[in-house]
Amino acid sequence: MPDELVSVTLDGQVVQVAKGTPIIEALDQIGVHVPRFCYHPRMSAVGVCRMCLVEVSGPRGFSLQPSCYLSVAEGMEVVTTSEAVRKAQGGVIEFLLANHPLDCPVCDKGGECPLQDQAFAHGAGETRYVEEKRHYAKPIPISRLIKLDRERCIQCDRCTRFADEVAGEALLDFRGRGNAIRISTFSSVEFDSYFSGNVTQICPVGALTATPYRFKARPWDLTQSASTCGWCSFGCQVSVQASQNELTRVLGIDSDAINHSWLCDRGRFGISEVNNRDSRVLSPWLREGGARREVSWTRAVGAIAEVVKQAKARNGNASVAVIGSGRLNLEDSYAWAKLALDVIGTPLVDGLLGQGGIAATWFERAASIEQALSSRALIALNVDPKEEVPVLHLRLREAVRKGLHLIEVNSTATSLSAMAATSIQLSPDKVGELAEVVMRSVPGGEGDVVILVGGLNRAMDPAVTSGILQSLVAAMPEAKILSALGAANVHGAFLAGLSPGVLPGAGEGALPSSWRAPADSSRANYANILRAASAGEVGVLILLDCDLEEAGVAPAAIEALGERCALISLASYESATSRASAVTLPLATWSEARGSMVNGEGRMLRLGEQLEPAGLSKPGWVAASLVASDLGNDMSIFTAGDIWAELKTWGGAFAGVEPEIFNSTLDGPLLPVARWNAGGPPRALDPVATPGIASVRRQGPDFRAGAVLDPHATGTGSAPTAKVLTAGRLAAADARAGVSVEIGVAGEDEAWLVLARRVYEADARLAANPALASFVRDDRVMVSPARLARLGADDGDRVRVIGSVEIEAVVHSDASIPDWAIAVEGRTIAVMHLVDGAGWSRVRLERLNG
Amino acid sequence: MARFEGEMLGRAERLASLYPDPRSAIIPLCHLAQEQDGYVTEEAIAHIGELVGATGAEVQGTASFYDMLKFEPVGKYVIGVCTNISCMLRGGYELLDAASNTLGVPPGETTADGIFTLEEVECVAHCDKAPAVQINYRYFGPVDSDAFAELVGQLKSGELDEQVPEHGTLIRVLRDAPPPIPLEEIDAERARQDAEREARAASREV
Amino acid sequence: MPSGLGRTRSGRREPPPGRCSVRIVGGRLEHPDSHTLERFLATGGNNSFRKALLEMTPEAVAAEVLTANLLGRGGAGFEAGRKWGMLRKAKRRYLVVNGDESEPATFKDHLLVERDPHQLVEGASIAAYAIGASLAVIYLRGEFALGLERVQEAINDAYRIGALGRDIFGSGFSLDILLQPGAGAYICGEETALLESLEGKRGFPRIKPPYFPAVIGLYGAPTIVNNVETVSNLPWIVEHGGEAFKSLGSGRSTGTRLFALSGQVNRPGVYEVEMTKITFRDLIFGEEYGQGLAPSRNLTAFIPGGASSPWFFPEHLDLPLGQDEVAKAGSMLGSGSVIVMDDSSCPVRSAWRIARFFARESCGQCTPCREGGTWIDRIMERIEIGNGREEDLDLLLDLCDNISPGVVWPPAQTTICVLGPSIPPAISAAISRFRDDFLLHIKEGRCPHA
Repeated sequence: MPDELVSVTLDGQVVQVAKGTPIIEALDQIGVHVPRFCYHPRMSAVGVCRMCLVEVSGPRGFSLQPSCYLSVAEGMEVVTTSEAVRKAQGGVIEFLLANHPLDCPVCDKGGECPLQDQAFAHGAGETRYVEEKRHYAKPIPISRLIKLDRERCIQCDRCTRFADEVAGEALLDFRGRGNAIRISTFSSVEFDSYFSGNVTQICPVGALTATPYRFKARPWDLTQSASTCGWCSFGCQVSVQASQNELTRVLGIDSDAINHSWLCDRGRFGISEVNNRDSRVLSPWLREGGARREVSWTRAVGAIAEVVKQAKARNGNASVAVIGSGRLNLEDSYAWAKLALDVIGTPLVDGLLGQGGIAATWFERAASIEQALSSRALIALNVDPKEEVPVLHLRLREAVRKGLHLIEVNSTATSLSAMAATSIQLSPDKVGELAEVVMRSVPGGEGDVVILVGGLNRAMDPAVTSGILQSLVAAMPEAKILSALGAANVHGAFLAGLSPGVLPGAGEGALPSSWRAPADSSRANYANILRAASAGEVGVLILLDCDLEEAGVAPAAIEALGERCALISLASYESATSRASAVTLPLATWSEARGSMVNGEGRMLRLGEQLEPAGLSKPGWVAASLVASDLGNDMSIFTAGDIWAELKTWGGAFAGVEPEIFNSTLDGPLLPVARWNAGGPPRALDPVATPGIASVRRQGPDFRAGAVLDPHATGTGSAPTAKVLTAGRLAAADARAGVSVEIGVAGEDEAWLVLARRVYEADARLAANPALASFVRDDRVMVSPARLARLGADDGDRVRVIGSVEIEAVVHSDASIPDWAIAVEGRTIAVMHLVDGAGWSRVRLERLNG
Repeated sequence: MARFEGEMLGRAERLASLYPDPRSAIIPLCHLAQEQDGYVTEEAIAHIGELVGATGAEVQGTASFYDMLKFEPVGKYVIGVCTNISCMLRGGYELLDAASNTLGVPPGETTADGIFTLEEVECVAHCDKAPAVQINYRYFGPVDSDAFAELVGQLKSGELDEQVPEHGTLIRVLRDAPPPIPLEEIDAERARQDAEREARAASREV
Repeated sequence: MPSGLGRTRSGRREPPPGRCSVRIVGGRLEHPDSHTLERFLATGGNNSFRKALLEMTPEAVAAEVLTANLLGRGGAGFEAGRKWGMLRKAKRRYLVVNGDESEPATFKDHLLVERDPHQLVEGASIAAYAIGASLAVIYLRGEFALGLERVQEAINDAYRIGALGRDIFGSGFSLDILLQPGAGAYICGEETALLESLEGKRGFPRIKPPYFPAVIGLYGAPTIVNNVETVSNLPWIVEHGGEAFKSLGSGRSTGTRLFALSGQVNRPGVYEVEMTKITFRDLIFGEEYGQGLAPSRNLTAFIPGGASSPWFFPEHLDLPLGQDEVAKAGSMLGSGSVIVMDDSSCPVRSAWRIARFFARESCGQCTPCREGGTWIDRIMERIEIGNGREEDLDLLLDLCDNISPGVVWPPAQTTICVLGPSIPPAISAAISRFRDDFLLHIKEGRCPHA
């Protein structure tokens, strides 16, 4: 529906503006920048700083009004250049500076500070304030990640509004009154939020700073590039900033389509693990005579080619298998898909850890984030966005506030439960009837329904979710799907062909003769590959940035696997897998290589390069190309551009994809681009909303990935067109990839395991992250009060959980846990090994005495 | 103590149930916490948050806005001397000095025996009795230095016990009424009355 | 002279002195037991509420109030009947009675809640009936401990005799009234701040628009906020009719008002007077009222409507006590509080004390008030104690201008609410009228009146 326009006079200029636009935005649109502090385009206007006062006509003549708070109205006149406006704005700046310390030279915000900048622009040269300034103890750690300097604070209400309104976690609030008003947490309760870092990004002064960034760099020393966060598959747009080949910080870019400038702490502070060289794989390693040795790339690649050749010679192509994790970028995924399927010719390829069936159902009917949030009903299946794709949680909160009808289908209570209109329990005995129950809860028919699917319960095989998803889709053929599957580029891995039974582009590409037809792909599934490898049926197992321990295999089993076959790993971080491997190749990690990824709405997103790859690591596609070369087939891939050219020829998802698309958009195109409505020019970034991005630009930045970070730039977003994807091949691929799994029956003393994914999981990467490692929670077991009573245990007792492994943990009674379930939380990596590879893992409990 | 227990918990829960939104009970509950402990403890803030569905930071944010709510122990008697314009014009500051001398503590502090806390306060709406003094929000005036000393003596001797309860006890009369009528019931009644009103308006127009 | 204790005890206020041809809100105060149910019922209590419920439609009650032209008694002086008429149509609406009386030198509501709480409850009930409120809340200043007890007692009494609760007096009308204590914050007298406080939040005034709680008020529902004295007028209006009320006073200023007289005057107190019928001179010097100043003292200034109103001087003494008359002369009748200063007082100190009050009571939400108020307070303190500089006077006026552009009356504002703009009137009045006093402070390095 086109916006209704009203006619307003802004500084004498008559313009048409959409009704309801705040005056400050209408002025932005004509290039008049009104100074501001409290205003933030992604939060409600409060009009408290009074910096944006302008003269507005009203029934009683002109008066000074906050331009952030008032919206345009027909016939309104606005004046920003009068003496009255100048005086008022100058007065506010002077009041704000009265108590503000003059410590800009040692302040992290110095050089990119809205207060500093606007004081230069609108303030007087010298102070008239001769009284004593306010004093507070400083800095105060309000969490393990954030420090507060109350003397610098200008009480703009941004951080407090963010905590309450955006994150829904009002752990940060004003305290006191009047001149003594200040930001505060309560008592010893820290500002413990997955989203806490955002307050440092939106603080318009140096009051809230991120502890890992404090005193690390000056803004003018930073270089930056536009990129996409690499932690989950939501695809938050970021500015990656570095100094002297070390990442210093990540700021969220305000992408309309995706993250509205917000980031989660896992993504924002993930740079600490990239910087942690001690945990990285910095050179190729080769196991010779039981010992691991650093070797050259030539040596390592040669060794890989050798074992591959030998295996193939002994037992055929299918004796080589490839498992990925969805962490490789799109280019790497394609190169490895080509190496595996075309050069080596094995069908045993799963880059999605068993989630291929879900992905296949997804891409046929992918919904954009915007479509999902504005749908008539959103069905959330086995997903907790807050834990899996955290920033979607923020977008969802806003959408639910605006009326989105949310239906939750999960096994236990999640962050969705408080928002959902209906919560339907996903229990093992009701899987068959689930679609029908869900259908009944959708108000008024099936049109405009979106299903949000994730992988929340690790103990439930993705095939079970896939089955439910397919029955939902069968019941509601019009429904669309938004995916919250992990890892970051799991959807790109699927589209690159690194998935059972799928060709690159997931469409009807012209199959090269050498490329292995995805005919016998029922075997090519993570669980089956692993089983085959354990049974000694696989000679070489190649692991693409995939730590098996994190995926649920116990270290002893990984070592046993290493005995049975040649483990080859491509890895950025040391892990149980890399240590057990025969050969390890060092992989350039996030922000060390330029490329792209695809998020859960099917949007292709840029990945910027900001660092030299650590040590001897190289991009994954280079590694693939080198191995291919040693196998006697160079794949004709010598640059990333070669990959793009090939992808385009595959058509399907990649029809019409040109690298230039990125130049006209802040984020990237939805795939296939025919689905994409690029809309108008990208949103001009507000330099006061996210200060760091604009200021780095002003200070002489490095834009390696396009010019769209310019806060004042406006692009021309013309959408390339492409032919519509046909669904025939996909349906077949889907049927082949969909592995049917028996859920089974729980024995007398058994219960079904619920092992929910969490933002902070004890994987090798988090362990390598000094800023975040402490956020992993202790192991604990939660059961219904009835089960606890049957066990004869009390809340807080220690119990043993017995499944494929045994762990000990404290047990708690939780009325929200159904009686058929045992929920295990907390993240020592051993917990993940309770997943036994069955359709739905089962465990039993034993009380520990004493 | 600190958290509400027993009878106090009953009163707290009744307070929280009085309002269309339980958060409206935050200030009354803070007064109740002061009645229990003499000041608002951190435990009470946390408990109030639980009772009304707010975070500790929010309850603290509200409570710390208000002068009557104390977050550290105060004397059994909090004595406020008004120095605002009407009292100042009639010797409010002189009285504050005298009070400070009598009690031996400057404004803002509590006597060593923990009996008296002296405060300079803003207008207490007792201006015709200026300079005015409030003791645990019970008013006296006009008060001069002799009268102040006499008041202190009477407080110590217990002569004023009936009139001035210990600090924290604000309202000694509890609400004695049936539970509030459910708003849905009222809504239905008002809808009926509104319909009648409209019918009357229509008939007047005819 | 101050007599210390004795008759000054809390709760033993003597009846207000003064004479008025008609007593509208103070009729019962001559009785020492005016706060009891017995006295209330013996003096016509609840007759009006009963009459309204059983003999009048809600719109008829509202029509009488509109006819009466009852001006709000809280300070702004907006017609109560018109305010009721602005109530947005909605299923649920609320009545809130504003008893957060905290404006310096204002103490008439304090008297009413302690001495005639039943009249307040009756008035609130009538208002709730007239606007069809789903719930009424009486918000009283937290420091009014005795008032809170008395009003709670009166509410309890009303439930006991069937004047509150379900099906009141068999009329089919049901109503609950809650008593809400404040906790010590002047700003909560501002009606939107009061609503925030009542919702369990800090008393931050709400940004406008919406301009009236009648559109969006308590919990987002349309809400009428009326002052204690305003609703206390309703029983009389229902009993005698709007015309009878309107026949008192003149022009827009109808009925009677309670005037709170304080400061350097011989007989401070609350006086109920017919509006516009006496002058400030009568109130301050009249035998029935203030009885003049101390021997050999001269009046230097008086503040006509509470601490935030522009000051008046001897040449204004013959203005009548009427809303428009005072407004025309450049100030406001406000909350009806008259503060008298004689020549023994220091005008610098008086202006400073007023500025300090508003600085201390700033909510802290918006910049000009939070920062400017404290800054002005500090400068004024420096001048008063002898550390002033001559350039401070221009600085003060310029800071005032940055809070309230032009320092005009009625005030313009760079702030969210009118608390900040309440500082400039006192500062500008003092500087323009008593500039020599300021200069003497600066020159002598001390307060010449100390």
